[in-house]
Amino acid sequence: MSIQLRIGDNLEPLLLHSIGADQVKRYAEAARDRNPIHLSSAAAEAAGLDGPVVHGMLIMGQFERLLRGWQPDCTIATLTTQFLRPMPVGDSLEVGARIVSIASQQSCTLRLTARNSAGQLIAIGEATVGFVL
Amino acid sequence: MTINSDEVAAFCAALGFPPGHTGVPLIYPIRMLTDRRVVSAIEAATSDAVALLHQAQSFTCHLPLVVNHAYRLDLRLERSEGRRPRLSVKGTITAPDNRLMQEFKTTLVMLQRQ
Repeated sequence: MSIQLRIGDNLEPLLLHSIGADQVKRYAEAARDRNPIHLSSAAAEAAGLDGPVVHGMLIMGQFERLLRGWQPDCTIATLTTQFLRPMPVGDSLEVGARIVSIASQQSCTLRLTARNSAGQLIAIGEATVGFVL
Repeated sequence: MTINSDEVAAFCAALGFPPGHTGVPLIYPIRMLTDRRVVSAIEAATSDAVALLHQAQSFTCHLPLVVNHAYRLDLRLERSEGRRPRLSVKGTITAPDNRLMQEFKTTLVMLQRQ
């Protein structure tokens, strides 16, 4: 297997046209994370939010999904994410990645971004990915 | 804790992974934080918060987790004060033979009633 890596290359972005209440509920059940700020308007508003927000891990999971879609057999050695602002349930998400460093064509580091429908950054991250050649 | 294959499949489906995806996602250990004993410990450390909001998350993989295998999870909770108090949860996952599998860190912001 040969992978051509170049610093500055962007991965094909992953677009989720809407992360709706159904998907949030499905994730809450599968992850057993039933924090009410994700599921209840009243709970979200009591915490100072405008309404229910998408789980941060549902967003971070899209980073991993993007990387696995790019190179299904890669190993992800590290994955970090900072959540910059809450994402309202029902908004859309665009997840992207750019190669920022390469180590001997066997591993690389990618900078990760997640943006909402207004183009605002929701989350940023970094991943170190390895390849079996 | 045992990594159950059906639960991994449901987790992958909820994230939108394509059907037939194999392997345990790197972020799967987040699910371990919902174990009743862990939830109780987090609730005790954040009892003055109205809700918790995820601020940051990291995972380091030393060896991949495997479905239907059991692992040991060790956690350390640290609370930091300030205008918005935070709780960090540092986790280490080891195999029964003590091989280090994964490490992770979760940072939660404690929201106060508005």
